[in-house]
Amino acid sequence: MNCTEVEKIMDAYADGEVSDIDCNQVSKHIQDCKHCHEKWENSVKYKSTILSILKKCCGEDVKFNIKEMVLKSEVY
Amino acid sequence: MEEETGQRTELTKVEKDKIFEEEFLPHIDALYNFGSYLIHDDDLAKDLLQETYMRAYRFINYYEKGTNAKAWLIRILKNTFINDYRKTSKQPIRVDLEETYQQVDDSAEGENRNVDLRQEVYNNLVGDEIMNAVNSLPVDYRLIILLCDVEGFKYDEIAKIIDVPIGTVRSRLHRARNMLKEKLSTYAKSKGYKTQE
Repeated sequence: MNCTEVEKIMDAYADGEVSDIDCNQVSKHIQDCKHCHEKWENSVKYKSTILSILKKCCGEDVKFNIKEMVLKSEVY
Repeated sequence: MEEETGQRTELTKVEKDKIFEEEFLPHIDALYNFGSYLIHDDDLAKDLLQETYMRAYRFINYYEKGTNAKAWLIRILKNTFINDYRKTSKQPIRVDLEETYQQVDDSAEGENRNVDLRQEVYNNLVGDEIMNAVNSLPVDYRLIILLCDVEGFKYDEIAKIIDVPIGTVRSRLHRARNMLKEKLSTYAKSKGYKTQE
């Protein structure tokens, strides 16, 4: 694979959505190519940043209230 | 009702409660997170969460035990949002998606261009700016970033949740990420950071 081919599937590679053959070829390419390796690191950084900032929790009180409400409801 | 698809299994109250507690409740944070970015109002997001769980329990006979409960619940939440909440939520004015897709397609670089940001830029962006950028995306783009980048669904799972072909998932995700990176790049440039090589 060359840089253009790798770049086309870089996002899918970062998402774990490429075939085993493509995965091996991209892995090999980014080991040898500084430019694509940097792009790969940027993709990883993007995903970890988005995940860490956008992840929120609803709180134990909300969990408790919903559980109580549903299990004591007459919907069954 | 879309939840009423698949094979129906008769369950006792005890069996239903067990599935609810063991397979549905562990995903409550993911559902709340997903709903809160769709609806932009914490009280409404909690109402949406509650309605989703009530509906999931009501249709629990159609859930296939041991399958992907998170995807099943997210699908119920998404449908509840579309049917009951979309008109009243405080989401930004929705951009006409077909028009947006067309604009991107019309761009010579539209499909294959990759917007890239340097790692240092991510380190310097603050959480509020990233959240604002995500919230300003059209809802279908926001939704796909949440499903893939936050909730970690695979492309085929996303395709089932939002009822589109897997190719559409790939292209929409690519466009959504590019749009988000463009917004972050604009912000970073305004703060004086070098954004691209």
